[in-house]
Amino acid sequence: MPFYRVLAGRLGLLTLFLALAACAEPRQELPVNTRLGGDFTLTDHRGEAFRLADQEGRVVLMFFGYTHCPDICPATLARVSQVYRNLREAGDAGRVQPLFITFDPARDTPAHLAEYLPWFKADVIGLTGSEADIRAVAEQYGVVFLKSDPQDGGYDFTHSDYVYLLDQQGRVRKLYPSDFNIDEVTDDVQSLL
Amino acid sequence: MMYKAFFNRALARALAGAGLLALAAGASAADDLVVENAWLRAVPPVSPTMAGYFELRNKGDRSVKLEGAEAEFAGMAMLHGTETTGDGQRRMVHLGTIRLDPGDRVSFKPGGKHLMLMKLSDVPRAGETVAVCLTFTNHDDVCADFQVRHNSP
Repeated sequence: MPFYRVLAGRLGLLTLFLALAACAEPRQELPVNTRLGGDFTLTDHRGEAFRLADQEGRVVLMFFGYTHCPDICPATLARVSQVYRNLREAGDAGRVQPLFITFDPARDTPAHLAEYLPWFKADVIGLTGSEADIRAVAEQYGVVFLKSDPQDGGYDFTHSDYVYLLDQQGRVRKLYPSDFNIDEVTDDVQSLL
Repeated sequence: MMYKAFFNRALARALAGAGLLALAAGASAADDLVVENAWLRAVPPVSPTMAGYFELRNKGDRSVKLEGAEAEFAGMAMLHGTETTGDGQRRMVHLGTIRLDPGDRVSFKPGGKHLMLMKLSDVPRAGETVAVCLTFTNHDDVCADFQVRHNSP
Protein backbone atom coordinates (compact mmCIF):
# COMPACT_ATOMS: atom_id res chain seq x y z
CA MET A 1 0.00 0.00 0.00
CA PRO A 2 1.50 3.32 -1.01
CA PHE A 3 2.62 5.47 1.89
CA TYR A 4 0.29 8.35 1.06
CA ARG A 5 -2.75 6.08 1.26
CA VAL A 6 -1.71 4.82 4.69
CA LEU A 7 -1.24 8.41 5.77
CA ALA A 8 -4.62 9.40 4.36
CA GLY A 9 -6.20 6.48 6.20
CA ARG A 10 -4.56 7.44 9.47
CA LEU A 11 -5.52 11.08 9.02
CA GLY A 12 -9.03 9.94 8.34
CA LEU A 13 -9.08 7.95 11.57
CA LEU A 14 -7.57 10.86 13.46
CA THR A 15 -10.25 13.17 12.09
CA LEU A 16 -12.88 10.67 13.14
CA PHE A 17 -11.45 10.49 16.66
CA LEU A 18 -11.34 14.27 16.93
CA ALA A 19 -14.91 14.50 15.70
CA LEU A 20 -16.05 11.90 18.25
CA ALA A 21 -14.15 13.64 21.02
CA ALA A 22 -15.85 16.90 20.12
CA CYS A 23 -19.26 15.22 20.29
CA ALA A 24 -18.61 13.69 23.70
CA GLU A 25 -17.21 16.92 25.06
CA PRO A 26 -15.58 16.08 28.38
CA ARG A 27 -17.47 17.40 31.38
CA GLN A 28 -16.09 20.59 32.84
CA GLU A 29 -14.83 19.88 36.33
CA LEU A 30 -16.75 21.78 38.98
CA PRO A 31 -14.55 24.49 40.48
CA VAL A 32 -13.78 24.46 44.20
CA ASN A 33 -15.43 27.34 46.02
CA THR A 34 -12.74 28.59 48.38
CA ARG A 35 -14.78 31.38 49.91
CA LEU A 36 -17.40 29.20 51.58
CA GLY A 37 -17.49 26.11 53.70
CA GLY A 38 -15.45 24.33 56.30
CA ASP A 39 -15.75 21.62 58.90
CA PHE A 40 -18.25 21.86 61.75
CA THR A 41 -19.79 19.78 64.49
CA LEU A 42 -23.52 19.77 65.32
CA THR A 43 -25.96 17.28 66.85
CA ASP A 44 -27.74 14.82 64.58
CA HIS A 45 -31.34 13.62 64.81
CA ARG A 46 -30.25 10.67 66.93
CA GLY A 47 -28.83 13.09 69.45
CA GLU A 48 -25.25 12.20 68.59
CA ALA A 49 -22.39 14.50 67.67
CA PHE A 50 -22.04 14.89 63.94
CA ARG A 51 -18.83 16.12 62.39
CA LEU A 52 -18.79 17.01 58.70
CA ALA A 53 -15.22 15.74 58.32
CA ASP A 54 -16.48 12.24 59.17
CA GLN A 55 -18.34 12.27 55.85
CA GLU A 56 -15.04 12.16 54.00
CA GLY A 57 -15.39 9.90 50.98
CA ARG A 58 -19.02 10.88 50.50
CA VAL A 59 -20.54 13.60 48.37
CA VAL A 60 -22.81 15.74 50.55
CA LEU A 61 -25.93 17.67 49.58
CA MET A 62 -26.51 20.15 52.37
CA PHE A 63 -29.14 22.77 52.99
CA PHE A 64 -30.70 24.82 55.75
CA GLY A 65 -34.35 25.18 56.70
CA TYR A 66 -36.85 24.46 59.47
CA THR A 67 -39.76 22.07 59.75
CA HIS A 68 -42.38 24.74 60.53
CA CYS A 69 -41.78 26.22 57.09
CA PRO A 70 -44.56 24.94 54.84
CA ASP A 71 -43.66 26.24 51.41
CA ILE A 72 -40.02 26.14 50.34
CA CYS A 73 -38.40 23.86 52.94
CA PRO A 74 -40.49 20.71 52.38
CA ALA A 75 -40.28 21.28 48.64
CA THR A 76 -36.49 21.50 48.83
CA LEU A 77 -36.34 18.43 51.06
CA ALA A 78 -38.50 16.56 48.57
CA ARG A 79 -36.26 17.57 45.65
CA VAL A 80 -33.03 16.66 47.42
CA SER A 81 -34.64 13.37 48.42
CA GLN A 82 -35.51 12.71 44.79
CA VAL A 83 -31.87 13.25 43.80
CA TYR A 84 -30.83 10.81 46.52
CA ARG A 85 -33.35 8.21 45.40
CA ASN A 86 -32.15 8.56 41.79
CA LEU A 87 -28.60 7.96 42.99
CA ARG A 88 -29.70 5.06 45.16
CA GLU A 89 -31.28 3.45 42.11
CA ALA A 90 -27.98 3.92 40.30
CA GLY A 91 -26.25 2.11 43.17
CA ASP A 92 -24.53 5.21 44.54
CA ALA A 93 -26.48 5.66 47.79
CA GLY A 94 -23.60 4.67 50.06
CA ARG A 95 -21.42 7.44 48.70
CA VAL A 96 -23.91 10.33 48.98
CA GLN A 97 -25.32 11.96 52.10
CA PRO A 98 -28.12 14.56 52.31
CA LEU A 99 -27.88 16.90 55.34
CA PHE A 100 -30.65 19.16 56.62
CA ILE A 101 -29.56 21.85 59.10
CA THR A 102 -32.31 23.57 61.04
CA PHE A 103 -32.39 27.26 61.89
CA ASP A 104 -34.90 26.47 64.59
CA PRO A 105 -33.33 24.35 67.37
CA ALA A 106 -36.08 25.30 69.85
CA ARG A 107 -38.73 23.46 67.84
CA ASP A 108 -36.56 21.19 65.70
CA THR A 109 -35.16 19.00 68.44
CA PRO A 110 -33.32 15.79 67.54
CA ALA A 111 -36.50 13.88 68.48
CA HIS A 112 -38.69 15.98 66.18
CA LEU A 113 -36.22 15.73 63.30
CA ALA A 114 -36.07 11.96 63.85
CA GLU A 115 -39.83 11.80 63.35
CA TYR A 116 -40.00 14.28 60.51
CA LEU A 117 -37.18 13.29 58.16
CA PRO A 118 -37.67 9.52 57.52
CA TRP A 119 -40.87 10.31 55.62
CA PHE A 120 -38.74 11.60 52.75
CA LYS A 121 -37.16 8.14 52.38
CA ALA A 122 -33.74 9.53 51.62
CA ASP A 123 -31.66 8.78 54.73
CA VAL A 124 -31.44 12.51 55.38
CA ILE A 125 -29.40 13.38 58.45
CA GLY A 126 -31.03 16.21 60.41
CA LEU A 127 -28.70 18.54 62.27
CA THR A 128 -29.43 20.86 65.14
CA GLY A 129 -27.48 22.45 67.97
CA SER A 130 -27.28 25.60 70.01
CA GLU A 131 -28.35 28.78 68.27
CA ALA A 132 -24.77 30.00 68.42
CA ASP A 133 -23.39 26.82 66.84
CA ILE A 134 -25.97 26.87 64.05
CA ARG A 135 -25.28 30.53 63.38
CA ALA A 136 -21.55 29.80 63.16
CA VAL A 137 -22.12 27.07 60.57
CA ALA A 138 -24.50 29.32 58.64
CA GLU A 139 -21.83 32.02 58.56
CA GLN A 140 -19.24 29.56 57.22
CA TYR A 141 -21.56 28.85 54.33
CA GLY A 142 -22.68 32.42 53.76
CA VAL A 143 -26.22 31.74 54.98
CA VAL A 144 -28.08 34.55 56.66
CA PHE A 145 -31.16 33.90 58.75
CA LEU A 146 -33.34 36.10 60.85
CA LYS A 147 -36.09 35.01 63.22
CA SER A 148 -39.33 36.96 62.92
CA ASP A 149 -41.14 38.41 65.91
CA PRO A 150 -43.57 35.84 67.30
CA GLN A 151 -47.04 36.29 65.91
CA ASP A 152 -50.09 34.22 66.83
CA GLY A 153 -47.78 32.02 68.86
CA GLY A 154 -45.58 31.20 65.86
CA TYR A 155 -42.52 32.60 64.21
CA ASP A 156 -40.77 32.24 60.88
CA PHE A 157 -37.33 32.77 59.50
CA THR A 158 -36.11 34.97 56.73
CA HIS A 159 -33.32 33.01 55.18
CA SER A 160 -31.30 32.24 52.09
CA ASP A 161 -32.16 28.83 50.73
CA TYR A 162 -29.25 27.53 48.68
CA VAL A 163 -28.43 23.87 48.41
CA TYR A 164 -24.71 23.10 48.70
CA LEU A 165 -22.86 20.39 46.86
CA LEU A 166 -19.79 19.27 48.82
CA ASP A 167 -17.24 16.90 47.34
CA GLN A 168 -15.70 13.88 49.03
CA GLN A 169 -13.25 16.17 50.85
CA GLY A 170 -16.03 18.40 52.14
CA ARG A 171 -15.21 21.28 49.80
CA VAL A 172 -18.04 23.38 48.34
CA ARG A 173 -18.25 22.68 44.61
CA LYS A 174 -21.57 24.22 43.63
CA LEU A 175 -24.58 26.10 44.99
CA TYR A 176 -28.09 25.61 43.67
CA PRO A 177 -31.27 27.60 44.11
CA SER A 178 -33.96 25.71 46.06
CA ASP A 179 -35.91 25.00 42.85
CA PHE A 180 -32.88 23.34 41.23
CA ASN A 181 -33.11 20.94 38.34
CA ILE A 182 -33.09 17.38 39.74
CA ASP A 183 -31.20 15.87 36.78
CA GLU A 184 -28.53 18.57 36.90
CA VAL A 185 -27.81 17.92 40.57
CA THR A 186 -27.88 14.15 40.07
CA ASP A 187 -25.32 14.51 37.25
CA ASP A 188 -23.16 16.87 39.29
CA VAL A 189 -23.09 14.47 42.23
CA GLN A 190 -22.10 11.62 39.94
CA SER A 191 -19.29 13.70 38.45
CA LEU A 192 -17.78 13.87 41.96
CA LEU A 193 -18.04 10.16 42.75
CA MET B 1 -65.35 20.67 42.23
CA MET B 2 -66.70 23.17 44.69
CA TYR B 3 -68.93 21.95 47.46
CA LYS B 4 -70.59 25.28 47.70
CA ALA B 5 -71.24 25.51 44.00
CA PHE B 6 -72.61 21.99 44.06
CA PHE B 7 -74.76 22.84 47.03
CA ASN B 8 -75.95 25.99 45.37
CA ARG B 9 -76.82 24.17 42.19
CA ALA B 10 -78.70 21.54 44.17
CA LEU B 11 -80.44 24.29 46.06
CA ALA B 12 -81.21 26.08 42.82
CA ARG B 13 -82.78 22.94 41.42
CA ALA B 14 -84.81 22.37 44.54
CA LEU B 15 -85.97 25.94 44.66
CA ALA B 16 -86.66 26.02 40.94
CA GLY B 17 -88.82 22.96 41.49
CA ALA B 18 -90.73 24.90 44.10
CA GLY B 19 -91.16 27.82 41.74
CA LEU B 20 -88.70 30.02 43.63
CA LEU B 21 -86.09 30.46 40.91
CA ALA B 22 -85.83 34.20 41.47
CA LEU B 23 -84.66 33.65 45.05
CA ALA B 24 -82.24 30.93 44.00
CA ALA B 25 -80.56 33.21 41.48
CA GLY B 26 -79.52 35.47 44.35
CA ALA B 27 -78.20 32.52 46.35
CA SER B 28 -75.91 31.00 43.72
CA ALA B 29 -73.27 33.62 44.34
CA ALA B 30 -70.27 31.22 44.37
CA ASP B 31 -70.60 30.50 40.66
CA ASP B 32 -68.81 33.78 40.04
CA LEU B 33 -65.64 32.59 41.75
CA VAL B 34 -63.77 29.66 40.31
CA VAL B 35 -61.06 27.73 42.13
CA GLU B 36 -58.73 25.63 39.99
CA ASN B 37 -55.56 23.54 40.42
CA ALA B 38 -56.10 23.36 44.16
CA TRP B 39 -53.58 21.22 46.00
CA LEU B 40 -51.75 20.84 49.30
CA ARG B 41 -48.11 19.87 49.51
CA ALA B 42 -47.75 16.45 51.10
CA VAL B 43 -45.66 16.67 54.27
CA PRO B 44 -44.63 14.22 57.01
CA PRO B 45 -47.45 13.25 59.43
CA VAL B 46 -45.63 15.05 62.27
CA SER B 47 -45.46 18.25 60.26
CA PRO B 48 -46.81 21.26 62.13
CA THR B 49 -47.86 23.14 59.00
CA MET B 50 -48.97 22.58 55.42
CA ALA B 51 -49.04 24.83 52.41
CA GLY B 52 -51.93 25.08 49.96
CA TYR B 53 -51.92 26.33 46.39
CA PHE B 54 -54.67 27.22 43.93
CA GLU B 55 -55.82 29.63 41.27
CA LEU B 56 -58.81 31.81 41.89
CA ARG B 57 -60.71 33.57 39.13
CA ASN B 58 -63.35 36.18 39.52
CA LYS B 59 -65.85 35.56 36.75
CA GLY B 60 -68.45 37.74 38.40
CA ASP B 61 -69.21 41.37 37.88
CA ARG B 62 -68.14 42.77 41.22
CA SER B 63 -64.91 42.98 43.15
CA VAL B 64 -64.24 40.52 45.95
CA LYS B 65 -61.66 40.51 48.70
CA LEU B 66 -60.05 37.22 49.68
CA GLU B 67 -59.09 37.36 53.34
CA GLY B 68 -58.27 33.88 54.50
CA ALA B 69 -59.16 30.21 54.57
CA GLU B 70 -60.65 27.58 56.80
CA ALA B 71 -60.27 23.85 56.93
CA GLU B 72 -61.59 21.30 59.38
CA PHE B 73 -58.17 19.80 60.04
CA ALA B 74 -56.41 23.13 60.59
CA GLY B 75 -56.87 25.25 63.69
CA MET B 76 -55.62 28.23 61.82
CA ALA B 77 -55.06 29.28 58.23
CA MET B 78 -53.47 32.37 56.76
CA LEU B 79 -52.59 33.83 53.42
CA HIS B 80 -48.83 34.02 53.19
CA GLY B 81 -46.38 35.17 50.61
CA THR B 82 -42.78 34.09 50.17
CA GLU B 83 -40.87 37.18 49.17
CA THR B 84 -37.38 37.16 47.75
CA THR B 85 -35.37 40.15 48.87
CA GLY B 86 -32.65 41.84 46.82
CA ASP B 87 -29.87 39.73 48.33
CA GLY B 88 -31.65 36.43 47.75
CA GLN B 89 -33.17 36.07 51.20
CA ARG B 90 -36.57 34.41 51.38
CA ARG B 91 -39.06 35.90 53.73
CA MET B 92 -42.57 34.90 54.70
CA VAL B 93 -45.03 37.71 54.88
CA HIS B 94 -48.63 37.75 55.99
CA LEU B 95 -50.84 38.96 53.22
CA GLY B 96 -53.78 41.16 54.01
CA THR B 97 -56.84 40.92 51.85
CA ILE B 98 -56.35 40.27 48.16
CA ARG B 99 -58.72 42.16 45.93
CA LEU B 100 -59.95 40.57 42.74
CA ASP B 101 -61.80 42.80 40.34
CA PRO B 102 -64.10 41.25 37.74
CA GLY B 103 -61.94 39.20 35.37
CA ASP B 104 -58.97 39.08 37.75
CA ARG B 105 -57.10 35.90 38.60
CA VAL B 106 -54.69 35.22 41.42
CA SER B 107 -52.25 32.31 41.60
CA PHE B 108 -51.04 30.77 44.81
CA LYS B 109 -48.02 28.68 43.88
CA PRO B 110 -44.80 27.29 45.39
CA GLY B 111 -42.27 29.97 46.19
CA GLY B 112 -44.93 32.67 46.04
CA LYS B 113 -48.30 33.20 47.64
CA HIS B 114 -49.50 30.21 49.61
CA LEU B 115 -52.12 29.19 52.11
CA MET B 116 -50.42 28.45 55.39
CA LEU B 117 -52.39 25.87 57.36
CA MET B 118 -51.40 25.60 60.99
CA LYS B 119 -52.37 23.85 64.22
CA LEU B 120 -53.15 20.72 62.26
CA SER B 121 -55.33 18.20 64.06
CA ASP B 122 -54.65 15.79 61.25
CA VAL B 123 -52.17 15.80 58.41
CA PRO B 124 -53.88 14.54 55.25
CA ARG B 125 -51.74 12.18 53.23
CA ALA B 126 -50.65 12.21 49.61
CA GLY B 127 -53.49 10.96 47.44
CA GLU B 128 -56.21 12.24 49.75
CA THR B 129 -58.54 15.07 48.87
CA VAL B 130 -59.66 17.52 51.51
CA ALA B 131 -61.99 20.50 51.56
CA VAL B 132 -60.54 23.93 52.19
CA CYS B 133 -62.80 26.98 52.17
CA LEU B 134 -61.58 30.37 51.03
CA THR B 135 -63.10 33.22 52.98
CA PHE B 136 -63.87 36.72 51.77
CA THR B 137 -64.77 40.00 53.38
CA ASN B 138 -67.65 40.57 50.98
CA HIS B 139 -68.59 37.18 49.59
CA ASP B 140 -69.72 33.79 50.86
CA ASP B 141 -67.01 31.20 51.50
CA VAL B 142 -65.90 29.26 48.47
CA CYS B 143 -64.97 25.69 49.31
CA ALA B 144 -62.90 23.53 47.01
CA ASP B 145 -61.37 20.08 46.99
CA PHE B 146 -57.62 20.27 47.52
CA GLN B 147 -55.64 17.26 46.39
CA VAL B 148 -52.70 16.30 48.61
CA ARG B 149 -49.70 15.70 46.36
CA HIS B 150 -45.92 15.74 46.23
CA ASN B 151 -45.64 18.08 43.27
CA SER B 152 -47.59 20.72 41.39
CA PRO B 153 -50.38 19.28 39.25
